[in-house]
Amino acid sequence: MAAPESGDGNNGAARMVTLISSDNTRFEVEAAAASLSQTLQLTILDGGGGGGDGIPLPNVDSATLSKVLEYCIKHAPAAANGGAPNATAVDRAELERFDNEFVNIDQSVLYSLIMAAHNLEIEGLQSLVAKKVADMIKGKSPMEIRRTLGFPDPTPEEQAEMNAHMLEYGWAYE
Amino acid sequence: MTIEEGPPPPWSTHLPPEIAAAVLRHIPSHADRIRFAAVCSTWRAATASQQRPSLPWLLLPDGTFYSFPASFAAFQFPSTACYHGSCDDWLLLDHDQDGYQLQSPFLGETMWLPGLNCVHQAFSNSVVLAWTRIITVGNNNRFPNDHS
Repeated sequence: MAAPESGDGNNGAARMVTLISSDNTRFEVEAAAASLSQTLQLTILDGGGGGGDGIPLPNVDSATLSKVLEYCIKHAPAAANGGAPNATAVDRAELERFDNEFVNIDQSVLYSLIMAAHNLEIEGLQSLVAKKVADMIKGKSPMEIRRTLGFPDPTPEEQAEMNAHMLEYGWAYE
Repeated sequence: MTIEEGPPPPWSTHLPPEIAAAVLRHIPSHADRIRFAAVCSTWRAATASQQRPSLPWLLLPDGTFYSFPASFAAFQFPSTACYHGSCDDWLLLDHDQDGYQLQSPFLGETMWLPGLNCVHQAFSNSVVLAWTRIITVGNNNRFPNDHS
C-alpha cells in the first residue's frame, strides 16, 4: 500500500498547533514541524496544542522560537521520510546550504538556539549548532576561544587554572 | 572589586554540561580538546566525562608527533629507543639490551616491562603472543638520531 502524501492523513489538511513563547507571542505551525521536538511531540500526540489552547514555552523567547521553527519547518519533510533515505542529492544539498546559512549568526544567538534545542529536545538542531561552535573554536587557544564566545576577561583564579591545565596536559602545544 | 551587573557569560558558568559535551563531540583533535578543557571549569568537567576517544596522533619515522586535524603543533620524541608500536596512549619502546618500556607522552609516565627472556623461560611463547595481541606491533622504526 502506498503511504498517503499527507503526513497525518487528517483529511488531507495538515494539523496545526499553537506554541506560545515566553513573551506571549503565539506561533501557529504544522504539527509535523513542531514534532521535531521530542518534548513537543509527546504533548501533540496527547492532543495538546490545538484549538485555542496553545502550548506555552516559558524558556524560549519569541526571537529564538521564530528561528527554531524556521529550522523545524525546513527539516520536517525530510524527518517525515525517516531521515529522507529517498531524498535526491539536490534536496540534500539544499538542506545543507540552508543549515550552513542558518548558523551563520552571532554567538549569542547560537547560545539561545542551542539552549532551546536542548530544552525542546531537537537533536538535529542541537547537533548543528554544536558543530558550528566546534568549528568556531578549533585551532584556537583557550584565550582566543573565550574571546570568540564573548567570555569576560578571566579572573586571576581562572587564569591560574587555565595555565595549570595547559601546563599539565598541553605542554606539547606551547 | 565590584560585582558587575548584566547577563552572566552564557557560554561559561550557565552552560549545561550536556551542551558542552555536544560541542566536544565535534572536536576530534586531542590538542583541541585540551585547549577546550582549559577554557573554564564547566568545560573542563564536560571534557572529563567525554567517552569518545580523540583522533590518534601521527608518529613519524623521525620521532615527530603530530596532532591533527586543525593543529600544527608537534613535538619531538626525546628517546633514542626503537619504536615497536602503540596501544591507546602508550608506546612500546625497545631499549636494546635494557629491555622493553611502555611510555605515555601525554601522561608523562614510563613503565619497564619484565624482560622478554624471563617471560620466555617462565611462560613459553603464549605470553609473547598476548603482548602482540594487545599492542599492534609494526615495523621497527628506529629514529635517525639513534645512530649518533
